[in-house]
Amino acid sequence: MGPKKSEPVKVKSFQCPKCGAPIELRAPHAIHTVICASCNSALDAKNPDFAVLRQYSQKIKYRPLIPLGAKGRLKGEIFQCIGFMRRRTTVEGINYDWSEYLLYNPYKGFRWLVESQGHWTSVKPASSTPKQVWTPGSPQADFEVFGSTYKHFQTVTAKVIFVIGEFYWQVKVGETVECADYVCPPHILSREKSEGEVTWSIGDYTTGQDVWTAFKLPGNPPPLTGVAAAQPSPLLDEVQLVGHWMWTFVLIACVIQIAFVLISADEQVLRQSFQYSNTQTEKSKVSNFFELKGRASNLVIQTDADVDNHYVYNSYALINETTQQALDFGREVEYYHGSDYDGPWTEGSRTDTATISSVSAGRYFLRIEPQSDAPVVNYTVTVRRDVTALWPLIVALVLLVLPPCFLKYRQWSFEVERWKESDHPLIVSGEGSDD
Amino acid sequence: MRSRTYQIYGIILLALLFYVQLIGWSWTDVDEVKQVPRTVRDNPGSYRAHYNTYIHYHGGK
Repeated sequence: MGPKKSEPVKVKSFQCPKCGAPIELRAPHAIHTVICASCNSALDAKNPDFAVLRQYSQKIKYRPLIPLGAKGRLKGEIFQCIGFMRRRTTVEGINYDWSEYLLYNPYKGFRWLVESQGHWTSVKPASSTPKQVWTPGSPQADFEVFGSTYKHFQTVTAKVIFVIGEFYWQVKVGETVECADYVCPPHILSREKSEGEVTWSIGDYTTGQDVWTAFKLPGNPPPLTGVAAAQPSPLLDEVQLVGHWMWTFVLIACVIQIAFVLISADEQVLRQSFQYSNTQTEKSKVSNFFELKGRASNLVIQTDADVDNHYVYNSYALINETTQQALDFGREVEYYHGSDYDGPWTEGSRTDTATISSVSAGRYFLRIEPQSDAPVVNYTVTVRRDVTALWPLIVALVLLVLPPCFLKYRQWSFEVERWKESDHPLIVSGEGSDD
Repeated sequence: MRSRTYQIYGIILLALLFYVQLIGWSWTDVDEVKQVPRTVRDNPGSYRAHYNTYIHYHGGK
């Protein structure tokens, strides 16, 4: 219903029969009711005399952010704002209000712009009835539109608390409808059920800035509060992309580790036993010579000592016979055990392992200077070269996984915030006790 | 932007992993001593070790 494309759109002007205020009808062929902004009378737009249907006592007047009559280009199509209404739902004693702007294009029909806490949604009637589906784990039926599943967000009873402008039905202040919202961000599917009528509409999340730009409104749009039902997550794409890179890097790290395990020599170059005795005049010892061949690599020095409720501390010097340079380090082996009221206990170990990195090829020996509180300690020193360690891989994997986990947590926090006001919050806060 | 930062971060981590494995890096404190006397094999006690002073502590009471 509407003017033929060849006919120019005519704006009809008349005077309110109640108060005489001038009224402009922007969609005279399509609307049923017009609310006078001056006296809040609802006028029958189909009546040639615009008979007064009712008059509202609207003590609180809400000022629409988009002025009635303003024209704007939304998604390439020009619409004119012809009506504004404020709706409210009450949940657990708390009122939640939102604004709805009726837009009209004589060739495209009606659209709605819904604004709530700074979040905007561009809504149009659904072209077909959505298909009901049951998703595993979903608390109630969801709906499918063009292959996308819309999850139930909330069902509320919405009441009109303020209305002004033109509408295509006989809108009344105080009229209620049951509204059910289903979301598939950035889209939202809404079902409105009133007496004998069910209407479906589908919406896209829109930013306030896009609305301001479309209608060339002065100033800035209202600030955002919270997360809207259909608001797209700013992190979703990043989480997926970073996740993809994480798995790639984890794979490469494992390949590097496997490669080093395969190419490392892991060769034993020395195994020699010594004895410490506190009666010895000279406790320092020197080992046999051992050759290090190949590339510069690590040396793993393992000390096994037969300490029993004692310790032995070895001061080592790895001496290169050719260059007469030494690498000094100290290692302790201690082992204690006993029994108390908790049962037997042990502390320490009879084995210690030290790793020296990047030792060049050459001929070496060890100088060992032991100290102990035991009278006699027998200890064995084993030296291996070019040993691949596991800890660098573990550290790398942990560091690789941490940033994606943090992003995922932030994405999850966004969803928690989104669903917080829904009928299905992701986190249900428990009631505190009065203990 | 975050994904680009993560890519650079991941590449640096992998490069570090490769380097650590290549040189066999470890946490062990090592002191380098130059010009060790050649007599140390015959007289080990003549060598002045960096780690020969050690105070052992055990027990909490």
